[in-house]
Amino acid sequence: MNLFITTFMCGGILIFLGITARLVLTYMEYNYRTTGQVFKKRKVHIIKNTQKASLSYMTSDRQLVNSQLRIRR
Amino acid sequence: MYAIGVIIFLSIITIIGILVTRQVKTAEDYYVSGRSASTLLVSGSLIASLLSAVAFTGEAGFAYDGYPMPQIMFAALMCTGYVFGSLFFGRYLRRSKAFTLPEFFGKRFDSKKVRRAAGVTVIIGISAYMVAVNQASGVLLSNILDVNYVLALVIMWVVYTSFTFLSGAKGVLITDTLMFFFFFFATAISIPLIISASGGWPDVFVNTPNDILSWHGITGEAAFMGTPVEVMMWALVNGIAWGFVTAISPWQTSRYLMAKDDHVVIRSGLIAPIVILSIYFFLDTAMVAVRLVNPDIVPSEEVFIWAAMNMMPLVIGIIVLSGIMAAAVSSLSTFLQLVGNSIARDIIIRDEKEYSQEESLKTARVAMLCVSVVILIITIFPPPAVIFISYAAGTMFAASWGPVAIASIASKKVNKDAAFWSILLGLFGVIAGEAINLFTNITLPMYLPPMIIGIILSSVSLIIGTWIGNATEKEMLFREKILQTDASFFDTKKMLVTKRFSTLMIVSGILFIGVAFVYYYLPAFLL
Repeated sequence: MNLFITTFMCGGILIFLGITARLVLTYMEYNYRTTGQVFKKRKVHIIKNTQKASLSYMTSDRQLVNSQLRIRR
Repeated sequence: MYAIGVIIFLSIITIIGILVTRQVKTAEDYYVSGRSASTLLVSGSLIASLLSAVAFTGEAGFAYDGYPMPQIMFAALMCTGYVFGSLFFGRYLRRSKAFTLPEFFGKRFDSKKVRRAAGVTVIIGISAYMVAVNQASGVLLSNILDVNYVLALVIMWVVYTSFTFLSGAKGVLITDTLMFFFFFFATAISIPLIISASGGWPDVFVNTPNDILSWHGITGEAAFMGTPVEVMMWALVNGIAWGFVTAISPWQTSRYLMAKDDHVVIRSGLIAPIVILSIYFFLDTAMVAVRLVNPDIVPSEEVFIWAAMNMMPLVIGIIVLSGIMAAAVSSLSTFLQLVGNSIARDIIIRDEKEYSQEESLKTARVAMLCVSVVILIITIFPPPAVIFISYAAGTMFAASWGPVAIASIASKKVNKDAAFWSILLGLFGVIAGEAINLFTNITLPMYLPPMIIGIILSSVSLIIGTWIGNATEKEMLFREKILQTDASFFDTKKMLVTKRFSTLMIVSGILFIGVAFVYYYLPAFLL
């Protein structure tokens, strides 16, 4: 217990916090990049194949992932 | 000599703070430093606001009394609030474009009632906390300058009021950062001297009894904490609760309102724990070493001051004493700015369109001056009720704001009535718990401090209020608005730099383990 708390605790918490922050940042970036790519690909597709298209999407972090591409033909 | 050194230091800080006044052109400059603060300024102010004189007096004394590791355990848990607070609350708070935290709650819940309730909490809690810090710094300064207590209080008042009144948030950010560097430097140079004067490393830890150096410190019937389990409960409960304080309290998160962008918020939240933990670890372990030279310092709160005057060369001693005063002044200026802003914006709520820049600045300055005069008078003639509230002030916000702050971002169903009652009942829970502790024979168990009672009441009322009522469309739309992440946030270069801060934190953690093992554990338990 002495070894764990006096030696590993402070450093361990910093490592845990650093990894958590890294994961959150990576997750946010992943969401943005992947959704952005879907958006671009579908946009090209829409321009090629439809006469009238409208996009509605939410831009919040969470909702960006679940954004819906509503296409009115 | 100590008196002259400290007076020169306080004069320099005051002059720098007043010079910043020239940069204050708009109300936004005055309230939130023009929302243009860099990572250096935000993190400097976060650390300076948290580490008031208490860290260098009361908490250093606690380590000296035989509890260095419990104190460090508490600090480590408290620091988690910075990372979670900046990632899941601070950056949304910044996007709200509010000038104060109560204003954020008011906008989020589309309610002047919620804004005023939060504003009243700030005024009561922060003012009481200010009185406590004012008293501590007054006693300290009167000892250093050898003047009477009231004159010392007036000197302190002139120092922090002058630049906070004139330059507002801009002055507070700059002076906070300067003072942070000053007390960080003072701590860094004083610790090797204390260790050396106590017998040198590794002898100080070899010669100190193992029970003091162990993870639980001194336990037993005559000790402050009876068993190791009690120590663990104390550190866990208080550490987690103070984690809420660093995540959502006004004197910490209001710094995020001044940040240039979301990256500054996150980077500051990553830097602050590394610096704060380093200060706590080296300062508190060094305080144990002072016991070898003088085990009879009474009151123990003066241990670091005694070490500065008796274990260091004159110049370093002056720097250390000035560093302790810097920690007190930085906290007092932040507190004054928060209370003044809350009175000017959250109690006197006026339509922005009818409010000119000049009027807004004038109102804030008048409020700031009135508050500081009232607090000075209360500090000189403290009514018992104020002292009683100051016991609870630090953690009051964890209870009354914690659940509402989390729900304001995480839940779209939470509504104004739930938020209002949650703030009020959280506040009531803390005050009632403190009253039970102080005025009755009932002693609350270690795992149920007043703050936990407040958090339970606040959470229950929030859940019931959300279940009964409905959020309006305006409340939900505001939440949607602040949840929107600007595309510029995902700029590859900026993201890379922010990720490097997280890497720095991981590397610091690994280094910390190595240093703690060689510096502390090896001599304490293996040699």
